[in-house]
Parts: sequence; structure tokens; C-alpha cells
Amino acid sequence: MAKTSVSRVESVPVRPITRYSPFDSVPRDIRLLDAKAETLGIKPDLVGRVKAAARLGPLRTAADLAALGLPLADVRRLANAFLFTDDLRVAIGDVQPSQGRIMSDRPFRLKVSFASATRCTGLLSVLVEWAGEPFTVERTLSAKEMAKGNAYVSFSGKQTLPVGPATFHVSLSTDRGARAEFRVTCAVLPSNPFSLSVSPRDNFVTGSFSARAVRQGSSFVTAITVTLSNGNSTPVGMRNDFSWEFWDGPVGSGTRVENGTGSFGGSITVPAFGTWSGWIAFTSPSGAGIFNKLNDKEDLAVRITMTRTNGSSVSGEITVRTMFRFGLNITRVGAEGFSSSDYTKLYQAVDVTRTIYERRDVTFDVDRRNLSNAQAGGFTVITSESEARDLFEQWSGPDNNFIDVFVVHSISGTGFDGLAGDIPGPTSHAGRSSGVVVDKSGLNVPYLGMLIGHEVGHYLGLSHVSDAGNLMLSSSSATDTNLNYDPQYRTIIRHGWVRID
Amino acid sequence: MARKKHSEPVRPKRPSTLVGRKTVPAVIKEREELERLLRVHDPEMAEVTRSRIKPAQLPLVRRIALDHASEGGGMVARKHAIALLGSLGAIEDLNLLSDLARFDAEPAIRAEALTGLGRSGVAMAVPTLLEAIGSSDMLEAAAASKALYILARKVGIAAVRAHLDKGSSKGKRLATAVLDKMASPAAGRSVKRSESRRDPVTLR
Repeated sequence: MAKTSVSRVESVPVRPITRYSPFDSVPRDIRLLDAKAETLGIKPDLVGRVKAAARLGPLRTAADLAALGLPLADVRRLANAFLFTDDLRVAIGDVQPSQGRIMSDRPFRLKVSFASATRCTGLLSVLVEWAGEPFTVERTLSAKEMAKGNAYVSFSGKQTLPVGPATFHVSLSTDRGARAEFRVTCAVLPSNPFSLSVSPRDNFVTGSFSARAVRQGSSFVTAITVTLSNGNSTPVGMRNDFSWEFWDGPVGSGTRVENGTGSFGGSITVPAFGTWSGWIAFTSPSGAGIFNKLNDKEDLAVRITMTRTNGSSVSGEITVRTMFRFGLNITRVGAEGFSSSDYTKLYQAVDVTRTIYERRDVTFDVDRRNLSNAQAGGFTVITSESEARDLFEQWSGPDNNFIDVFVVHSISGTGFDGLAGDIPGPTSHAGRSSGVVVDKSGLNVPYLGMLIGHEVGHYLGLSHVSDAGNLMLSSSSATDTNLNYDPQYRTIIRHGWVRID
Repeated sequence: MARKKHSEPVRPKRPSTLVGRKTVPAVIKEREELERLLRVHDPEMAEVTRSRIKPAQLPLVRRIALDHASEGGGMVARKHAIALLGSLGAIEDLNLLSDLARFDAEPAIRAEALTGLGRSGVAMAVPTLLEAIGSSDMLEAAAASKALYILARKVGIAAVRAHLDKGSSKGKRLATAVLDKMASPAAGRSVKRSESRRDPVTLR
């Protein structure tokens, strides 16, 4: 009889617990550009020129620097890294937990470091994304606190977090009309003090409910990530093997469908106040118990158990289910303008989009495509809706029943940053409505992932809504990614290009 | 076939701690509202935004345009603030758009400001466009080329040509090519459908 097997395992590079997501903001040391400023990051002779000018009088704008004969690249670097005299802008340099870590079910504080060049008061706001509903903590800052350059935001006993990733979106607004933003993700560590959690493969979006079983030929493949979290001051040695069980119904109260063992290989040590992650892929061939359940569209639960070298075990579980699916032709428009780093970020954004849909049990396949600069011509920068529709008309396809997603370098001068051909979009690759186009958005991964998801949502039949946090808000940020069951999920699965295995 | 589901876990909640809106400075509340209007995605909503922003709010729109390169939705608010200023074409915003086009650290913002200069319909913007059209940054050069086209459609090809001597020889050559193409008899819009290429395996 066919059986499920562990087809692949891999350990994941360890990430710092206070910079847990690759999409977090990069800390910056932002200061006033005056005669005392050090380490300007430009050629020594130009440093002398800037400092001499600053001694003669305050530098107030980037144009003042350009007037000194600095190359444009240096002017841009300095204007971004420093504040000018009387500058109304404000900048957040860093956000970190005040104790260096956040422990589960314990109050904590975040230290926010910032800079402003003018006397002002402020409003500090922190939106928390975690396994539960997002919530916000705000506080005001007096002129004295603003001048100090840092402030703390406290999370009370009613605002503690469970083990797992939590992303903090911090904004600082001033009474001079300026605003700055910063994003940081922390791995919340167990106070108890050790745990194992299971999540969908490569999942950075918090609050995911289930892992996906994907039909590949005559098998189902299920990929999950296992994370060990250590809230203690001593490292924890682990055996590298694990046991797995798939249950029909909740673990322990349904029927065990299949079980087995596997190994990550090598040695595993979970660092003090740190985490370790690895991922596992299971292949269930036709005839296997898991295959039969998934083929009947039945939900399963998988439990993973690992053992410490001291003999005690730890386990975690997650729901596994098949999903409705569609396809996206992701087409880079003006391919030569995407560096290899840009390419990586684009597909990280597509993974964010996939996670948004998988949280609502819909997934998609991707065909990676491109238009060269020569093919794209003027379409690399879209300046009107009509031009976007010309792009659909001339380049939609191939005829693979996938939705065309054209990623352009910029949609400029229009006031919009995405467009879907229609609501819902057609099930053909012809005409001026077949496709969606998005601005690459500075390749800010979470934002671009949301934007692609929003425009694809229109193509799949979703209209704008006003529910806070929903993907289909007409005006939104990277954190607005929810899809509801009724009517959104029920609408999506009726589109002619959405199917189930 | 009906899905046999486990019950979906109820997401836990935590209370928010919010500063009472009555105690928040008016300018902060006004900026929150402006950002909400500016962070739109689709064309029909961009129209709504344009109709709702009042002249009295333009100083704050300029403030948004000038802020540091931002995370999350901040970039889109900046871009759309710049697009709005460009569409209004006020002379007092030319310096702001020109400074952003030349000095901002973010290529996407420079591209937006260049397009804004084109949309402003002011031929004085030509030297800034000529400087950018020869840039090694593909986005900047493409945006400058588009902006020159938009500007020439607004003020006439001759009016733009009259300013070409204010740029480098490279800028002048590239700009002349854009204007010559505009001046040639229309070839008619191509509606021939073609197919994109699949990315090579080495890239994936």
C-alpha cells in the first residue's frame, strides 16, 4: 500500500530575534548636517567643502549642497542620511525592545529612536501584527521628549503576546506636519521557556491558519516550517530526528491517518534567547491514506514532535488542507531594469501575495515571464489608464488561463499605482481588460505583495470594501491583507480561472 | 464537493491604547486624512482623491511630497502627492518638483517628480528633464523621456525645442529623438498581440 514519506528537509538560516523578518526597515543613524557632522560618506575633499559651507551659514536644502558642486549622487545620499537646519522632516532611526527581547505573556516596552531638526511635539503610533487581530498602541510626545531623540512605548499586561513572530509598524507624526515610518519584527520567545511551533512553509505573515497541500502529478506535497524557540539563557541541544503524525480531525481526538519519522541531519542547537527553524516536505502518493483524505477535500492536522538531548520532548501542530487555485503570469516589463536583487524582491512579494490568499484557502501557481526594454518600449513607465490598457491589448498571454500581472517600473503622474482590467476580469487573453498592472513600488516587498493581491482580487471579482484591515480597501497599506469568507472567498472561487485539484 | 473542515481558530484580541482624537494636533489629524486619500490604488479612486483635496490642504500635500523616503504605504502617499502637485501645475511648485527630480534618494520619487514636471505644462522644466533623460538610471531616463513627450503635447514641440540648448549634448540628442518621433506622421496605434518571454531557468 502506498505510504507518505518525508521527501525533503532543510534547516533555515537563523535570524536575529529583533530583526526577524527580511523585510524589516534598516536602522539608520540620522543627524543634523552641520559643521560638526562626522562620517559624511563622501570623498574627503568634498567633506571639507561641505563643512566649510556649514561654518559660514546653515545648510537648509539639498539645493544648497548642489550649489557647492557636489555630484548629484552625493547630494542625494547626504539629503537622505542627514537633516538640514530648520528641516521640518522627522526620521525614525531604529525600534528595539528595551530589554533586548520580548517574552511571551509578559509586558514589554519598545524603544523608538528618532531625529528632528525643529522644535515640535509628536504622536507615536505602533500597529502590532501578530497571530491575533492587529491592535494599536499610541502615545503623545512633548517637545522635550522629541528633542531627546528617543521614547518608549509600553505594552501592558493586557497587551502581551504569545510565542511567535510579531511585526511592529511604528509611525511618528509631528505637529509640523511631518511623518516617518519604521517596521521591525521580533520573535516573541516562550517564558515557559521552550516551544515548538508549526507554520506554512516560508511564512512571514503572522496569523496564518493552515498549511497547503499541493497536487503534483499523482501525489500531494505538503510543506511546513518547524520553529524551535528558546526563552532561556542557556542553549538547548536537540536530537536531529522528528516524528510526524497526520490526523483526520484534531490531533488526539480524530483518527490517526499516517505517521512516521524523519531527520534534519547534522546537529541542532537552539541558541540562548533565540530560535531555530527547518522545513519539511511530505509527499503522499496516490493510494496513501493522506492522499485519499486530501483528495476528498478533507482537512487534516499534522503534529511534529522533537526531542531534546536531555530526553524531554516538545511538539506543535497545524491544519493541512487542499486549496482552490488559479495562476498568475508575473511579467516584468522592461526586464533589464530589474537587478538580481530586484528579481528576488519581486518574487518575495509574490510569496507575500500567495500567503495572503492561502490564509483564505486559495493558492496560485506562477509563470515567471518578462518583456525586454525593446519589447516594452514606453510601457516601462505608464502615465495613463489608456496606456495600461494598450499594454493588456498588446501583451496579454500566453493562453494558459493564468491572470496576467504586469509589473512596471513606475505608474507615474496618475495618482494610482495599480489597475485591474475589469471586475471580474475576463477568462481570455484578448482585449483591453485582460490583465492587471502594478507599479513595482520601490520593491517594498510587503507593500508590493499587498498591491498585487489587491489588483488580482479585482480581477477575481472583488470590489472595494470598507472593513478595516481588508485587502480590498480602496486606500490601504501593507498591513491591510484580510480576505473574508463571505462574500470574498465565495466570489473568488466562482471565477472561471479558479479551480480545485 | 463540500469541504470537511476543522473549525477555524478564533483569532485572539488585544485592546488598543489610543490617544483621544480631541487631544491630537489638528495638523496630524489632517495629515492622517490626506494620507488616507492619497494611498489609493485604482484610477477611479484617484479621481475621487483629486476632487476631495482642497487648496487649503496643499501646504500639507507639499509636506508629504518632501518627507523622507518612507516604508510601507508612505512611498505611495509621497508619489501621489507629487502627482497631484504636477497635475495642478502651479508655478510655485516647480522648484519643489525640480528639487525632488534632481535630489531625492529614491528613483521612484525622482521619476514621479519628472512626470509631474511634464504634466505641469511649464517649458521652464525642460532643463531638468534634459539632465535626467541621459541618466544611467533606467527608470529616471524613461520617466524623463515620457515627461518630455507629455510636456511637448501640452506646450507644443516648438516651445520645448526652444529650450534644448539648456541641456548637455547627450540630453539634447535624446530629447530631439523624442520630439522628432512626435513630429513624424502618426504610424497608427499598434494592436498586434505578441507574447512575453518566459524567464530563463538560471534566473529562478
